[in-house]
Amino acid sequence: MKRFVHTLPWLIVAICLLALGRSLFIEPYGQQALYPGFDLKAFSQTPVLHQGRHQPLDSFARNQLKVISEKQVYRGPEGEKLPAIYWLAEVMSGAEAASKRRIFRIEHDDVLSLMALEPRPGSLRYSLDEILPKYQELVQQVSRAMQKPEPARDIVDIQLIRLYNRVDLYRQIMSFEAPLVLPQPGKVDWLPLNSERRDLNLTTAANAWQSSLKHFRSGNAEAFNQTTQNYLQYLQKEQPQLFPRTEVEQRFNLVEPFYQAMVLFVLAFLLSVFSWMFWGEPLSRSAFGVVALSLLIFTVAMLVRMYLQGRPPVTNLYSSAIFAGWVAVILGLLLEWYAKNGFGTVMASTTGFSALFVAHNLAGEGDTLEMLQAVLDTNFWLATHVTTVTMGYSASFLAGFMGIFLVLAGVLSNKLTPQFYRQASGMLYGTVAFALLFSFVGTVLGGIWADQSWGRFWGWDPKENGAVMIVLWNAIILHARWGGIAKKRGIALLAIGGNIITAWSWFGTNMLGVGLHSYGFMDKAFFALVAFVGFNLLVILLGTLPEEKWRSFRKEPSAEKVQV
Amino acid sequence: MITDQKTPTTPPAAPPPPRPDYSKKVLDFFGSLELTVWLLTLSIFLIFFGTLAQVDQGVWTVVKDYFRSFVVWVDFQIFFPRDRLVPGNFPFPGGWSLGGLLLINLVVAHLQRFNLSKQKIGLTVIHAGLILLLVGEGLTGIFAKESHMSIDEGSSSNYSEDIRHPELAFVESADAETDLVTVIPDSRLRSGQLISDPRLPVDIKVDRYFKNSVMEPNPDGQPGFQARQVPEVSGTASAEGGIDMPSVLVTLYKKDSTEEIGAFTTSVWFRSSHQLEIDGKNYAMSLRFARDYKPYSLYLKEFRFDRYPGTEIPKNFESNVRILDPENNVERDVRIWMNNPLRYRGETYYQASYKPDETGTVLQVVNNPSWLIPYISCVVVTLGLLLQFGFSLSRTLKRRKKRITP
Repeated sequence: MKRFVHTLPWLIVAICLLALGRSLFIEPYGQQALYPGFDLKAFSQTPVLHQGRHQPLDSFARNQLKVISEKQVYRGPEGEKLPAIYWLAEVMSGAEAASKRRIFRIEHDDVLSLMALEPRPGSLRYSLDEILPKYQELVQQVSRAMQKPEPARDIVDIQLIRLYNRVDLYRQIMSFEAPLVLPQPGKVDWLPLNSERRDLNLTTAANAWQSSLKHFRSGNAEAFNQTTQNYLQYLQKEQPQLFPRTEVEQRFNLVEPFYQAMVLFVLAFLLSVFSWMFWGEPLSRSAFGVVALSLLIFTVAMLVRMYLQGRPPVTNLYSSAIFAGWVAVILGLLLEWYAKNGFGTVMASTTGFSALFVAHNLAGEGDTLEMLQAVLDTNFWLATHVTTVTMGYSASFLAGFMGIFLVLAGVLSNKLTPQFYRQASGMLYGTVAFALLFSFVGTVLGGIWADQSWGRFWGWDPKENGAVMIVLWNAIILHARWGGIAKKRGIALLAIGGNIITAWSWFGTNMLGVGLHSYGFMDKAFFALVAFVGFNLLVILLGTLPEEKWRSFRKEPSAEKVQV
Repeated sequence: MITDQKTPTTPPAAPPPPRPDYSKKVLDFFGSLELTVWLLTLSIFLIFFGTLAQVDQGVWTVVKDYFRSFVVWVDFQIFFPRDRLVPGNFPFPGGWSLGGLLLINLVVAHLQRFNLSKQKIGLTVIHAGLILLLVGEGLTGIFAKESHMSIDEGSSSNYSEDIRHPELAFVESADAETDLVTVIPDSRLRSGQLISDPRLPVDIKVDRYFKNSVMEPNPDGQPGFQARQVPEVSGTASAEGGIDMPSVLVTLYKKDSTEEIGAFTTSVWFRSSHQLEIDGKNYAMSLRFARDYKPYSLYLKEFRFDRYPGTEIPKNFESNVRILDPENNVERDVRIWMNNPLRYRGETYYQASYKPDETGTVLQVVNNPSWLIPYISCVVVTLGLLLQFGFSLSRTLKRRKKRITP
């Protein structure tokens, strides 16, 4: 048995490592049936300039497909999943298949009926050929919608404008307006491919692009590979500063480390839950190992992002969610290291997973490595204020998730022992203290940044207000505990309330559309926020049951307490 | 709801002296942790309301109504989508009330429980820093002045404009050298108000006052413009935000009579003023932002707006200016750009915005004598928090070690 305790965790971690290694070394665009023999790996490494950022063509393809279709892959003729770079090659080369690919996502029924399309539940995606017959009508409706002031536009207007923008993005790619692909010797500005289209004396770059695309269209794999590889070598000589950055980014895209980490978090969560039913010790150690491995991937992925961007970890809403998840996982593992009761692992895996899930859904707007607006262009403040305040958010969420766990486990199951409850409550208190420290320091540093950049320490901007609400809420929890106003249950419920406040200040304030900080605008997330708030309120309501009524603490002779 | 029974400071009661000590009760109440929790909770709600209200109102209106007031009447409307009209409002304690009570609560609690032992010193330091922060914010609210200075490339300016305080100015040219200026502050400019003052050459009826407005060509095709009210904007005028452009429609009457001189529209949009002749004297009437003249001037050599290649995303805004201060014999070049202001003679100049055609800069000018206080209090509170939490963490770890080792 003792042997088992020691070997099982290593075994499980080793299996996870193998699975990870496979994704690191496998040939990415393998032998796809659709375009056999084409070296799309080299093609997708080709550097281009878009939105002010040098990136491999692979990133451009993924981000644009994400804008158009809200996914980074699309379906081929047989329903098989295909990588974005295929789609881009099809569109840019003018392949006939391109206009038949179902990629434009349309969800609203009124938009569908305007475009004379049948609802397509499950897929929601339509091809360019299906949209074009009614394109004139779309343009008319959109120009009418654009005349309204922004607050007066209804959901149909917004969806129409979105569809129009998506079709227009497609048009820009098709007509070689985007991305910028032709470097200019000695200049920072690059040019789009259409700038040289009718020239007889094409530059090397334009020539390479034109012939690559021609060969792709005619199906000449050998010539395509030759041209693409030659061009890549040419660029390595001419623009050495772009390498190996673009290669690293392409590899990063292929490995999808955050997705891998999410899978591992789910595995760790399941292992922890099972450990409370059987094989306690070996399973909980395995769970710890899996979370640790996941943290490793997470950390490397974040470092790679920092290398690619040349910035501190948090630069936009997406990366703030990533960083918050990372901090929460570390805190969870520290708590586990200290208490060794499985609580920290469960918390690390749930918060890590949730943060990555939120980040994944925030990435819909396209490039997550986007360039920074002038006021944000300061690594000092990004590294201090932004990271500190995000750590505060992260710890507040961790405390809130702990509260949810305690209430649910206590009320709905009989597994919560008084000893575990006391221990976990102490950990919750520590987390709130950590959250107060970091949210306070982060908020005040933000004030100092504001004083440096527009001369006002405090401006009552929605984002600032949100941050100070988190600080006050954490202060309330601590004072309530010191004053004996709230005990274990009260602290847990207050911490869950902290979830609501943190979600408001992190995401809700961005939805108001006012203030100097509204850089992370979004609309769809509103419903997610409402659902999250509703869920937390429900758990709070559940937790208002007196402790002696909780299933775990009910005085039943048969209630068997299991040590968790 | 609030009781003082649980207050930890209550000394172990000596048996039965039942005579109630009211002053102590009051002190216990004001120093209690329950009061702290209640005040902090109310503050969260106030801040939340004040955030929601910013959807319709400019931030400075909200700051005045919510955070720098004793009582605020919160409209029910702020909780609902704006396409559904919801009437009514309710009173709520404003920022001065809550901040003041929190300050009292803090001070009383610390007087009662003042303790410099190792366990408590962190708490004392934290709260001393917080008091400093609150006081600093109060001082800023009272003393800080913000204004804007716009300069065109190749020219200089020696005054800044207070974009939050427009004024209706009557300028009388007394002689070639000096002007006699009489101004009516915006606080008096309310729709329907009648203004009569011996210092003014006329009586004024304010027909309409728009806090923020746009100018549109006259709809009937006649030359000229008419003002239309638009919602207030943030009024913070960063690179992204706009500022409120007020307009006022006035009818002027001869002094102490009902004889009408005429009706006028004037606006900060207009560059020129209305020329009036009253009792043989010439006046120029205009609505303008209140001006603050400096004893020195700034000359703008160059304004730069850099973008990321191939995009419209701003990368850098920058003004290269020369300070011209004959009084102090200063003439030097400085560079003002995002996050890097110029501090000169008690005022700080920030890169805030630019002229639409990018040929001129707009600098935010701040005069805040208490600007250093938040920096100090940040350091103090952070130290206190580290002391406090560090101490309790080490205590917990020690206890745990003891529990494991024996």
